[in-house]
Parts: sequence; structure tokens; C-alpha cells
Amino acid sequence: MTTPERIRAILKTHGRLERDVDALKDDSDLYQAGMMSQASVNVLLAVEGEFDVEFPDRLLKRKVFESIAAIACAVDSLTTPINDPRDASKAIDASP
Amino acid sequence: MRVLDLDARSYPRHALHQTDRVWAEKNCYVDSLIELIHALGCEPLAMLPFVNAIDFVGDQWTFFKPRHDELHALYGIDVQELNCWRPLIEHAEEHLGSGRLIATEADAWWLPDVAGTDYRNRHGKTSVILNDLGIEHRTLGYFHNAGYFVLRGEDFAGTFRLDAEPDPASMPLYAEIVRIDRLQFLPEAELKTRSEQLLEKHAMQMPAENPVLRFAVRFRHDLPMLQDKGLAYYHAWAYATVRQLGAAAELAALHLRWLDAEHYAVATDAWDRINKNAETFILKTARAVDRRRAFDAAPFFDECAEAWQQASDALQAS
Repeated sequence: MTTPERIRAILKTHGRLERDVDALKDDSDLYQAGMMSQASVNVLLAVEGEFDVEFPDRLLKRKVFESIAAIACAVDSLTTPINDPRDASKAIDASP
Repeated sequence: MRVLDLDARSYPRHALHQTDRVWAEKNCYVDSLIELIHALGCEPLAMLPFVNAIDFVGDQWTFFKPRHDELHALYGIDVQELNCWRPLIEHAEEHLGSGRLIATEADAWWLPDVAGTDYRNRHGKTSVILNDLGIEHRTLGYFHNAGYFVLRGEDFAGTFRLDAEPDPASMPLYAEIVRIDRLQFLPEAELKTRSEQLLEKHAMQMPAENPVLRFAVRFRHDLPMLQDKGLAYYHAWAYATVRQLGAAAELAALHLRWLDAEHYAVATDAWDRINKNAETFILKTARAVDRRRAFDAAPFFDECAEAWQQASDALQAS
């Protein structure tokens, strides 16, 4: 599975969204889709477990969990060694 | 019967509840009041000075709420306890039908807007403001958390405790009558003047000793217990502690910017630092609890303690 697909699977279990996860686009706002703060904490823990990563402090932000694409970007920044890990926060900061 | 003509499907939230806020939900009472004041056409930012006086009191940070006399001074809103001598639905019919809203405790189990947490999942006390009662079709329009919603059918029956055998051991929910018949719309300059007067009062009521330092001591003591009890317990703890601190800091900074960004720049910066640190800390603590491992929280507490002192000194000198 791709990173976004694995994140979708996590959201189905932990996101407690009001909308069907499969109906969301990668850049859909998860908070507007009903994800509450408590659920986002559980999503973080599940993502870290699934990808065997630990988000550094600069990625422990509400905004990082606002969409499947943003989470995937953060994960990829931690699992792709050739990338500068700062790119993820830059990309997320620049997202609309 | 309704007090305000609102459509839950298109209801525009106040900026304090937009999803780009760090703490989109603060606490249920304040959140629903923010939206009511917004829906009435007034500016809820004006009522926020009380958040500056947040304190750490043993097992929680202040569950901050505005004082009723301040709501009256700013908006002409009058809040009094509702004497629940008969079923809540009868009170709702009486008061909503007469233009008075009802703020009441409610069981989140029956509130569909919290599908992400408690709805049909866990019984829990929360606060809502009743606005639109449809007895015939069993519908209720209500303010809750960061928005305005409608519940129906079985949720209606559950909220008002209908269709169930009378339980003599069941206590009535705490509720308040919210009168808006003397609502006032002050010009922005006057609203800011009154809000600044409240800020002076609450600045003087900030704790004499740095509450972040007390929170740090308690956290170090409580962390092993949190790890033993697990994530469900952690969520309740985090709501009572870090969320209230972070949300208060975010609200305080937003209020000061609205009041006078330049004049209150030092205190605003301090509250911003606490807000951003709390955002990270609540997630790091979740990880420490989930994985039952050691966690050096000193950097968080050091920066927040310094920032709180900065805010306190700046506000009391203003």
C-alpha cells in the first residue's frame, strides 16, 4: 500500500470521522470532516507505530494532521533519507 | 419554537473556532457561549479577559468561564440559574417560547456533533445552549462546542430523558436561563474600553505564584500514574490540564491583539509561546503515556514558566 492508503486505514480505525474516509480527497480537511483533537492524538500514535517513526517536535502540530496529504508528507520526510527533513514542515507551512 | 433563526447546515462559526486555531475547542461552556454571542451579532473577543487569570489548582487548570456580571456589562446578557422543578423539556418550551435561551448540562452520548468522541460511545457531561425546540417532530437546535447543530428523534428523547421509566434517583441537570431582552450592541471603541477595564481586573487576579511551576511538580508526580492508567485516562487528564492552559493562552493572545496589539505585544508574545509549547506537549505526553517511557518535560515547563511570568509582569504593569 502507498503511504496515503496506509494513512486512510489508520483514519478508519482511529479518526472517528463523520464522513466516509474513502470519500475524502488526500487534501480534504480532516478537522472539517469531523476529526476532533482527541482522535488526532490517537491518529498520531497509530501513524508513528505503523511507519516506525517518531515525529520531532516541529511536526507535533495540529496542522500536520489536517489532511491525509499533510500526514503523508510528514511521514515521507522521516522515512526518505535523501530528503531534508525540514522540507516537510516547509511544505506543510506552505499548504493552503 | 426558536429564539434565533439559525440554519445548522450553513451556520458560520466565529473565527475563534475556525479549524486553523490550535485549540478549535476550548471547553464546552465557553465554546457554546462564544458562538451564542457571535450569533447574536456581538463580538465574543471582548469577554475574554478572564482567561488571563487561569490557575493550576491541584488536578486541573481553571475550567475557565466568564462571570455573569461581565456578560451583562458587555452585552446586556443576563444569566440566572434555572430552577428545574419540572422536566427540562417543559422549561425549554416555556422559555424558548418566550425568547429566553437555556444553557444546560447534557449527556454527550446523545449529541451527534461529537461523533468523533462521545456520541453513542460514552456518557459524559457537557454544556449546550438550547435555541430551537420542535416538540412535534422531536428536533432540537443547540449550540455546542465550536458550532450550532440539530439533533433529532432518539437523540431528542435521550437529551430530554423522555420515553424512559421515571428514576427517582436521577438528579436534574444544572441549567441556566439566558435572557437577551436587554441585549446591547456597544460601538467597538466602547466595547474595547469595557473589555480593557475587565483586563485590568483579571490581571490583578493572576496567581501570586507561578502556576506553571506548580503544574510541573504535579506532572512529574502524576506521569507514572498516567502511564499505568493508559490513554483513555490520559485524554481526560489532558482535557483538564494542558488543553485548558493552551486554550486559555491562545484566547488571551487573540484578545490582546484585538484590544491593542502594539500596547500588549510583550504579553501577547508570552501567551503565544505557552500556546505553541502546549500544542507540542500534549502530543509528547500522549506518546510517553502510550509507550510507558521516560519523558523529559523540563524544556516545556521552563519555557512556559518563563513566559507566564512575562505575561503576568507585563499585564500587571500595563
